[in-house]
Amino acid sequence: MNLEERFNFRVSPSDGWYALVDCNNFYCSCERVYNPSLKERPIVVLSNNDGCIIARSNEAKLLGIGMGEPYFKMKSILQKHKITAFSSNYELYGDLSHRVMETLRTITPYVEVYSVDEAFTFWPHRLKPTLDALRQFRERVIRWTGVPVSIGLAPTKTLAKVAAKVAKKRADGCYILEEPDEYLLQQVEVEDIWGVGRRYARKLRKIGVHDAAAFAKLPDDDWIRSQFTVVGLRTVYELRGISCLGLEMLEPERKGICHSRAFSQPITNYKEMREAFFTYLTRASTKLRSRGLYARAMQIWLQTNRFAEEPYYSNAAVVQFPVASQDFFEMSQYLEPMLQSIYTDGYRYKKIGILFLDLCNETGIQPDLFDNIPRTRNAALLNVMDRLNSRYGKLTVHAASCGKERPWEMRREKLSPVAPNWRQLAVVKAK
Amino acid sequence: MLLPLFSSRVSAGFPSPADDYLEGDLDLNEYLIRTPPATFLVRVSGNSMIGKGIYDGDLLVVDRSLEPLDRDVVVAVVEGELTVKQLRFQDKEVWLMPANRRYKPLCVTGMDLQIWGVVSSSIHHFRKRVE
Repeated sequence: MNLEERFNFRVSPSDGWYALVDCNNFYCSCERVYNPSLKERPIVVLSNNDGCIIARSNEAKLLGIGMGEPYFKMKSILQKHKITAFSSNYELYGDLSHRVMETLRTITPYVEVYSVDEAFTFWPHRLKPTLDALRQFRERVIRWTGVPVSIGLAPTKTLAKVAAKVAKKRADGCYILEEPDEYLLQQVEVEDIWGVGRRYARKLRKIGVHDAAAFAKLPDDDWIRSQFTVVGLRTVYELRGISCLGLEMLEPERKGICHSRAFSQPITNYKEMREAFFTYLTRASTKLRSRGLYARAMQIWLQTNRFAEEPYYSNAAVVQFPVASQDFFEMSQYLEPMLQSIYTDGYRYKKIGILFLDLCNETGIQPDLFDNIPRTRNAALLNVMDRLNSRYGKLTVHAASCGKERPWEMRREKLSPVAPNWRQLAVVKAK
Repeated sequence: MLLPLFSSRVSAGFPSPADDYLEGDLDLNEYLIRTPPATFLVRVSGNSMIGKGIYDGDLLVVDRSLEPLDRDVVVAVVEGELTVKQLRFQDKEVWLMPANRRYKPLCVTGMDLQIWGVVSSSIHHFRKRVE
């Protein structure tokens, strides 16, 4: 069996060099871009509803602040060490992430956005960057976007991940892993190997494989495949320096648009639940319209807290629209009966969501002969509402069904004031 | 926002010969922003730069990809704050100059000066708008 047959796909296009560009403590670094006074100061970023610590600057790490610690437990420690905490400013992070990726695209078209703060870039053999070139790429990203990054270059994606981790500890933030380095791979615990999940990691430990070097040295390919499937075998090859995973540059086609979020406090009555759902529908349908998409179906769901010691309940409902729609007013008519069919009194609801399915653009709409929705009029009204909301802030104008107080809204009390919209631009002093 | 460069009214019958010369839409983004990923919009607060035509509330287009040169208007970090000033290199000295006699120049020679970005243009509204 040759490589191609073994993996059931072509290997040749992936042969070359992979650089993983990894943003350092991304969320914390974003907070510093417009606020230089935070430079070299310990900061942390909190999850939704200011629940847990999800990002820490190096200074906060050195002070012993752990990942995932609940904020309310850490409050006094943060205060003692003068550590500044921020709510997640996803608008800000999204904008800077996009800038980092676009900056990389000025260097090479071969960019795979792997996550909000990581990208793989690909280089054919004859264009393999030198260490000096990597340093210049890194300088450009930092200079242009203000976000510090590390770059690790290696013959495979899996090794590039290892190289990036080494790069992060180096002063110049760059590292080239020329070939699988026995000593280096021994330092990589199996849990930290890219593509190895918790289950496989446990399995590997059980057979005495504790690090990447040992995993790469497992002798029998067919046995590896039988134990860890083709995914595991690919990882082994990648660790040996044979590239099996090419760059995935195409964004997956949008299958659905979702708006789901936990409440800041549980909802226990129908009136508030109804308001919450209409608010979520407002947001979700705005998203749909801003992307020029229409949905043929809508799913809604609600659930109580799975981890609390109280009765658990969850339920969902789906509706198919007669004509693909992005019309909030039309959808509203479906929402109420759907909600009534799944809502049950006596529970403390923690989270709800709305998902639009089976999306198409304008040309994909099939009209219905018996359609009696005033679509043009609704669209005109929604267009005005969308424009007002984008200029004056989300939910400036909304249907009365969304309610006024909304005490269940996500809490972000420590939000930094900067965001990519006209009302929240960063301020520079002229003094 | 896209503005048509010029266009003739649509009429039945003959098409306007001028349509042939339509050059497409004028894009202000294209005019103001040379390097999109490195370009940031910030709001001005204060009057120290009015001599350079930069007023309180104006919008600055800051291009972080530009190398700061003598006489550039820049956003610099002063005492941890983003501050707009004119950069001057003179007789081996580095200055951050205001453009208003009521404010003092700041000599930053030998200090760890951080230039946040170079201001490439400023947008000023002459008629008050509600924002």
